[in-house]
Amino acid sequence: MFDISELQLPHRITIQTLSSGRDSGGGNSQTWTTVATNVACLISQTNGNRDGRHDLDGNVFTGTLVGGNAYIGRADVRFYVTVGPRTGRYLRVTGCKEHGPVQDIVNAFYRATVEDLVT
Amino acid sequence: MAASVIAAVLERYDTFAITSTAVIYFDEAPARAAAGHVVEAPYVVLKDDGTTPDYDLHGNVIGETTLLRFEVYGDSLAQVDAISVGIRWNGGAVDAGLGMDHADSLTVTAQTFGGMFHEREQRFQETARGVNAGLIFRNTMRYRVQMFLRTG
Repeated sequence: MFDISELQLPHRITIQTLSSGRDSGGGNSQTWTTVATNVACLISQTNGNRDGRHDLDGNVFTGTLVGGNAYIGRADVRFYVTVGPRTGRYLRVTGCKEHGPVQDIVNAFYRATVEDLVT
Repeated sequence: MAASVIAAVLERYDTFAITSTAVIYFDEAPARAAAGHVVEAPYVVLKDDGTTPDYDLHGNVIGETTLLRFEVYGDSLAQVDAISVGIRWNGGAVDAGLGMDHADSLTVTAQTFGGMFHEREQRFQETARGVNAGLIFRNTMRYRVQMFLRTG
């Protein structure tokens, strides 16, 4: 029975979940709550591109994050990188998937595509 | 003196108090500011929606109407609102003309200023997120600027 933790994934993240409120102007506001720390994962950083969001010629990095923690398979979270590419940065989830489990062969593991607006 | 309405509006904005909070850029904010740091909200982008001459006026006067809009970006709707108020009135009374609403002057070469009118504004929450996966809000403020040219 294979479990992804056997791969000794090299990177570490803190996972935060989202709740929302309202600011004084009536707009939505966000609050992030930590639900897991020192979570092992593998972050594969692909590259950066300048996507022109918000009429801004900014640079956005994208990547893929793989691990065994079920929160990695959720969209309403963000990841703070403590060890790995983009250390000290918050990664936003743009997509996520659950792989498996396959009985007696592999435990479930999770994959998220992430992005980070570079500052 | 500016050579175009857009240049004059940018020059006028740069005299406003709000410019210390939100720098303005033409059409698109750059990746990095003049000082070298990365540009992130809050900031303002000025969009040119075109200038149309009017040849139907009497005598040798041609009217030129320029449509433009300020795209105000911020981390919260409250921040966007505060910047928007600064653009409209620049800390003055509503009827003082210190801001862009009914601006008291706009100096463009060989043109006479006829008026600057606030026509519409609309607020949005952006789909794409900002730094630290944060929300980004926008207010689109549309203006009409009337100028006159004497040709004879």
